Amino acid sequence: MSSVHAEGDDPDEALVRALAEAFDMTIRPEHLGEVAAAWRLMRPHLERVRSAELSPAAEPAALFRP
Amino acid sequence: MSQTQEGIAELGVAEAVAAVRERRLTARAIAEATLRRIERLNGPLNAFRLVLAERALAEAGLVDAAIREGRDPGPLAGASYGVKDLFDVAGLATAAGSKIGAEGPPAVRDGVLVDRMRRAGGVLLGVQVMDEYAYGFTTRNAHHGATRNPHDLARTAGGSSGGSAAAVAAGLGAFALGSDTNGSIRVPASFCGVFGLKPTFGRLPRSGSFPFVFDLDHLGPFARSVADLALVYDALQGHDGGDPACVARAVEPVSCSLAAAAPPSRVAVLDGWFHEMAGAEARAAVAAAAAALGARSRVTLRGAETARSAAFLITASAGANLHRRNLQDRPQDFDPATRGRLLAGALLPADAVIQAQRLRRSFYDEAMAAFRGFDLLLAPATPVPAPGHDEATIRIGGDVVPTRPNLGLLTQPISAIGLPVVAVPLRTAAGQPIAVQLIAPPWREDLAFAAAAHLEAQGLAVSPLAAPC
Repeated sequence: MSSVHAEGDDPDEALVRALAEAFDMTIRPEHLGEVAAAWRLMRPHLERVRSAELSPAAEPAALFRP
Repeated sequence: MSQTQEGIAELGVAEAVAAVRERRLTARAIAEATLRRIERLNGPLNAFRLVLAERALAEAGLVDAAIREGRDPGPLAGASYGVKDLFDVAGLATAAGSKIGAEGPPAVRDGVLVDRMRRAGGVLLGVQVMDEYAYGFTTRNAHHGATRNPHDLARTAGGSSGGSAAAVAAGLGAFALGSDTNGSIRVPASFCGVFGLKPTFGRLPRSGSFPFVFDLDHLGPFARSVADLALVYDALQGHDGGDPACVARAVEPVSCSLAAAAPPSRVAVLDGWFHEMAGAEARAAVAAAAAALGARSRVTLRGAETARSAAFLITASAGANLHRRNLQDRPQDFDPATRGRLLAGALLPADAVIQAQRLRRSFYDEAMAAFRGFDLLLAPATPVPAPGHDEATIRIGGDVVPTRPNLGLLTQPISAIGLPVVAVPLRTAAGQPIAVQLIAPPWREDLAFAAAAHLEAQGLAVSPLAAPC
């Protein structure tokens, strides 16, 4: 994260800008703050999901039917 | 006729149907009385975005004609209802709470469930306010305003089906149809004090409704009694090939056996995440329901917090995918409350979203293991009763957390794995509504209904009409 933000930048805004550029998403400057706020909200969920241990046999449940 | 206009408008589903079938009231009289009540109360509540008086009177006329001609008017004859703003209604643009959708072309036909309600004799009153694109738990909408809680106008109705729950609580219709992706039926049911059903994923077709997250979206009803909820649910059931996730199962009615059904005997309270993240009132509601159902066991589902996080990421990612073009071309037309989250969802790495889908499977297996020992699991629907509109934070488990993203933390893990839930409204010691989730194994809505009926018969689950003005 630190690699994409310059001194004085909000690090989340800088990260969002970098990700948007990489994914070819346009985010208007006036919306950057609210996207960064949403990213802050999402980050703990992202970290929790990424760090969860799963058996290699656990299949994704897209279009999941109980 | 001795009933007052207000008394007529306040009839529940079963009462209205009986009155119409027994020719004590016409469907038109019920529709007119309810439309007058909407005219009086919708201003302060903001439950309906559009009132369809002409259509309601026409549908009521069809029911009355069937009665006059000796034809079966249907199981919901004369029962009036509203639908969340994401159901297709012929001739109206399906706004889904958005400015962009409201500017779209009108639907050419009713959604499948709206059509089923019409065929069953239901009388459609209008479309109801929701969070934009169903992405929220408070029904605060930048385009259509905030829905207020009929029990206390200063408090949130919950969301995203807030207009639907508030309308039913205030007697603006005998029932309503909403949707639940992460808790959007159960959260407003809890705050507004009405019964809500989120059926098993794949039970009810979503054909002709605006999607949010394809593999998490459920449609379902709200009502003021268990019997009413069951009547509506029975009329909603049936396969439709227009929704690829809808499973081809026979209709499994619950209303006919409800009175005789014994509540499940193997009931447990969900511990761990579902206890730790519940406030004192929510814990008390679950304890009261557990005592009434004879539940003495507690079960912990490992991974509930992670399942919630998985639902959080899948929702943001799928929502971003659905709205990507408009997020690029006209972001200024989105509600600021949804725009930031949708744009952030477009930036999520694919491997995290796939991992989230795998975690859902793992959590489902954990729940199925619990159902080997129990037929029903209890959990609070919301961590707290309805907060005030301007309460930016709530206290949960000793921590102060932001209100809006945390109102669904007890519903998200359950919808993430598609289990059927009846949300039953209880009362706190201070008299505020708060609901308990009655969670059943897949396809066993009947068990949740039987438990809900028992709690209602005990006087514990109650949904009295609110008197907002």
